[in-house]
Amino acid sequence: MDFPVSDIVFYVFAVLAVVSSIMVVGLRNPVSSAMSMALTFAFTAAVLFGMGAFFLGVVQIIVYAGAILVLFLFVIMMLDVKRQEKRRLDTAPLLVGVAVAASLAGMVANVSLSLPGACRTVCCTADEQDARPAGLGGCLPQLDPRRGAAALKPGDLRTRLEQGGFPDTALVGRTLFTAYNLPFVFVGTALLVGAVGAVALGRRSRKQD
Amino acid sequence: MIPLSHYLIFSGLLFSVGLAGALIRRNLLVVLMCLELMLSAAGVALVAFSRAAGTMGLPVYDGQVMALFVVAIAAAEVAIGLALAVSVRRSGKTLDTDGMNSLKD
Repeated sequence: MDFPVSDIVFYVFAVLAVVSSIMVVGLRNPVSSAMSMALTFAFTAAVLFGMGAFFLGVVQIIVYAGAILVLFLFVIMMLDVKRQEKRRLDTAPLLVGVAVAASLAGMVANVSLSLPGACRTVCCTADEQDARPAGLGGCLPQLDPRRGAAALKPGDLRTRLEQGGFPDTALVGRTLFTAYNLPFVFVGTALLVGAVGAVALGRRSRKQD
Repeated sequence: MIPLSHYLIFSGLLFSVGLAGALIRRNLLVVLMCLELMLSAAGVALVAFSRAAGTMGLPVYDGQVMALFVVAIAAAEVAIGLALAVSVRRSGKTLDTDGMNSLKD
């Protein structure tokens, strides 16, 4: 069983995500920037769903669009940030920013297209794929839960995979709570420290008389 | 199917737009928003690699676990960054990064 998401859906969502991220940078009103950021996160979550990472797509929506973005809006409303009044766009930072970003995008594109197994056009034919050295950069391997069930110990997860389901959350949890248990606890501690630090930094300083 | 390189190019584009925004914009809150864009783009790249390195029909979930950690740390960083922005606004009355050029208040 594979997930028949047509290729065109990924490209549509990818283009929409890039367009809305450009809107985040370009719009003058901070509330409009925040709303465009919500759109970007939603389209990125759609791309994650297309990759079969269902748990992470939902986490993207809940945490990024549902918590981080709302926190931004709280602070924008609380501080009453006005839109940028004059279009005082200094050309030097604009040019430097665009040049640095474009060169980084170009470098990433060059490196990802020269990964072993990558093709300079959209997905090679089978003959070309056989001729090229095997590697990471080609088409993503298909998801096949029934084959993956063979590698698990007999149990509830294995039977669910053999029946054709794809319990993505359970599979992520299987890796998270066994191999990465200690880093998980540390991330929880980091979140606690972040919350305490945010409260401490946000207090008004009391002047001693 | 979609090659890995296309996912990486998408992630790189999203990251570059966030980087350009962090360099161009002067409002501190918008700079923090662009930082979040960059972290989200890195998460997409991690998930793409977790799928690409998949064996036996399943992805290698280490990349997705790392992307989960990135999301959690991004949330903590946003909380602290926004608390700092609030405190800066209280003391300096402006969120324009051009004016934040001295460490002493």
